[in-house]
Amino acid sequence: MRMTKEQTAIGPWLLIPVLIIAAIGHGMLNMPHFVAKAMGNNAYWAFPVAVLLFVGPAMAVIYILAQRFPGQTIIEQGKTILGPFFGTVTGLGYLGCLIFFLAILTRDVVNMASVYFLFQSPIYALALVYLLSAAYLASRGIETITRTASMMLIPALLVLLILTAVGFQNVSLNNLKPVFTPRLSDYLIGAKGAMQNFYMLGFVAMVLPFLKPLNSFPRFAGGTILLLLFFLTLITVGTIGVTGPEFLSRFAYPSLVLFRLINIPNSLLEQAGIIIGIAWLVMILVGTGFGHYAVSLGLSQAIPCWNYKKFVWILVPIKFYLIMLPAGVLATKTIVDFVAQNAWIPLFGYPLFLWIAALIFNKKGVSSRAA
Amino acid sequence: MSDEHISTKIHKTLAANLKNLSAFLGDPIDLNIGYYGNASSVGIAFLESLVNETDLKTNLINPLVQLLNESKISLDKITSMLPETGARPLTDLEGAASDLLEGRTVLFLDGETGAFSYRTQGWAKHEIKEPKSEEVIRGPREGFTETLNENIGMIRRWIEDCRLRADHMKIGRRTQTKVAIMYLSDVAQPYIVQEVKKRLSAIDIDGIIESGYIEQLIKDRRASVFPLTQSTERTDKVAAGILEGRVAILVDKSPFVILVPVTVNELYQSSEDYSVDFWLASFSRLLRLFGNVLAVGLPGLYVALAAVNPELLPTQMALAIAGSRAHAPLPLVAEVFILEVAVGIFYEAGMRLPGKLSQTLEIVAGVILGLVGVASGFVSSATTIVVAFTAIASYTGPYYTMGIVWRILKYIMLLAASIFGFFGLTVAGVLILAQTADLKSFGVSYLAPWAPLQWPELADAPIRMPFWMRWNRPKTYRPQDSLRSGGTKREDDEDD
Repeated sequence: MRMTKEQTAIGPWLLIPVLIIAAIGHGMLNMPHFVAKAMGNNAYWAFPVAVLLFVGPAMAVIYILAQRFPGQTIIEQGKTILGPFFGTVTGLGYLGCLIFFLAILTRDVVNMASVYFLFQSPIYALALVYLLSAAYLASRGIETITRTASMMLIPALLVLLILTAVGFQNVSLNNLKPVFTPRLSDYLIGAKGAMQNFYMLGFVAMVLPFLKPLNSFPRFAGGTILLLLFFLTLITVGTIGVTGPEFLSRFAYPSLVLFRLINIPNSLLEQAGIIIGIAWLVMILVGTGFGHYAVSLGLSQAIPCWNYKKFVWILVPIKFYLIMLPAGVLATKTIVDFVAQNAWIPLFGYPLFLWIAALIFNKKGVSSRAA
Repeated sequence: MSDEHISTKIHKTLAANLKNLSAFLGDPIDLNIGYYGNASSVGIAFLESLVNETDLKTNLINPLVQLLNESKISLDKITSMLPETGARPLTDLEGAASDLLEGRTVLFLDGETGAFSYRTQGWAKHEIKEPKSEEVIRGPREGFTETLNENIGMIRRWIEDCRLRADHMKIGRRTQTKVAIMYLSDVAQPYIVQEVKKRLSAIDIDGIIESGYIEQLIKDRRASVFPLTQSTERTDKVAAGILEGRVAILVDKSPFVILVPVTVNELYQSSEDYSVDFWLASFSRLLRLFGNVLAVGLPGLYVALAAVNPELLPTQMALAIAGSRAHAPLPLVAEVFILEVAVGIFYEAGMRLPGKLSQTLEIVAGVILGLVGVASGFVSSATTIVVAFTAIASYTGPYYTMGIVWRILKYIMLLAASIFGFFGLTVAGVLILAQTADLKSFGVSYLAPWAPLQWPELADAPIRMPFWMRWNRPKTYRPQDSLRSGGTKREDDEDD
């Protein structure tokens, strides 16, 4: 059976919403935990530093590769640059990391949903519903995923902005001081902790060939990063301001505290946090669907015997198995923590590796004009 | 689709003039051409849909035939013999086409480089009522009828433009139903027009009894529950759609005209929105959207909050709901489900009963059964309030079919909420959204302008921006000529 290459195109206003939705959905609840653990009171500086040191250059490399090898995803670029064998092997390694990362992410979401919404329901049921829903989204293709994200972008961001702003009523400025830390190494450690919130941007390497026109990417990616920076910093400032850094470094989902403290007198709901909960669940489900699609597409290019739709459903039991690894076992906990904190290295590192390999092997691809 | 290659000059050859005139108008279905005289030296042309045929025969054709039998004729002679017809001289075919669109009849004489048009207007004058399913407080009271020519005429009366095309075909092996495709040739996207014609041509069926048959056969995703075409009885809505660059499909013997492409945003717009001030229209639209969200989500939300996640409710409200359900014999989800089905049955029954009986049924169903149900403890008062509110909210949308779709999806949301509470409700909502995101109507995203985000078009989505701020046609339908208004700013306008 031959692989069916997906023939489609998406504009920047379809690509950008899915990146924003996926990145914010993934990072908004636990991201202040990692940065506060690394930097303390002034952890909000972690994001601009992360963007300058890691995210910006990585996105630039992804764009350069896409320009040189037009119409190719990162997996196809790997085959072109490293040759079919090494390209496939390294590509599969990269995709394996992504699968593991996505499984950990889903595990996190399901645990959260279990704790805060359905503590009496068996976790496997929630995991299965969530996985199947994400797989359904992924099976509909990039256009449907991006349109779904686009549809919910404005409402989700509005809800997030309004409720975070309301949450600022409880901020204590003393918790945010000192504004700067004297040790420069703290910024680097903080930036590494903040990288977890930019993971989803790395998936763009799998879908960039669909973007038309490709040269709109730098402008729109810049806007996306700025918007992400604004929201992530806003939530982190709010959370540190409300709880202080010590609490943040102990509690895995500190943003929830910020949202649960939001008090709108005489409102229908006791806690406005539930509205955030819905917005978060919507965003992260679409984000997971996007990641699931990207990995399935990559697998269909690395192993071109089936099309991506088959890989979408093949991935479900694999991810389900990884999600259901026993939580209390030390080895599981160590692996999960390690993946959660370091998955950005292959995500952003593989494009960088390919770029360097292209320079070394003198694989120039085609010029943008020829493309 | 371009008119540039057609000569607008009146030639000496009668046949060439009539052929060019027909081509200039796009060979419309309602154009009628007749030849008179021994050597077919006189030709007349008129649009059937816009003329009174009795007047035409009495005042023009009969005197003309008599005149032709008596002597050698000229244009001046004919005109002098027909004083009551308001003869108007014509110098080119463009003027002739314009007069035809007014309902006048154009007369050519072989060998003459001029022509005359005569007053023969008379479009459908039988009772035209306001459509019952789309009544408005402010706006035209004109609905389509079951006669194709009358319907074409009604659209022509809205759009007096010779670029308004009325292409035609027959569908149905046995019924041979006449179908007209109307669009503005310089505005509608040619490939959308071609796609419409292609899909209509592909229909192979013994008969078309109603335009709903065609709607179901030409939609992009035939198995989808969502309406991917728009049908309306309102003439103003169709005219507005054509002006936006959409294509209207008129079917003989059906008062429902199909408009394509369509977006879900379009189905929430009422024609009244454009007749009132933009503030009022925007407010109504927001209420309508909110009503529709409640119509699809409220029963599920109620079950999720009251039965699965009661800890999310304010204490007083949770206690009030629990108190009202203290003696209810059924689980909450079963209670909501039974009441929802009951309301659905009352609705269906009410639809098919005559007006007065329908009112009686509403009183029996709404007041008596509701009161007795609550008093007997079979259903709780909180559930009755939720179901009643949902029923009312489901009528806020202006498009009937969309309302039915939401009524169906409401049950899916209810089921998901009853099993997984808020989690299930959210996941079901996303999946329904993804299902709509997957749809296209004649190549146009069903969720436009939200997905893909088209910022200028959002000005006519949840709110309606004033006309003086909307210069362009919606890009969603990819019009060839996007400029709609040349600006309406007045010299005495304040800069506010």
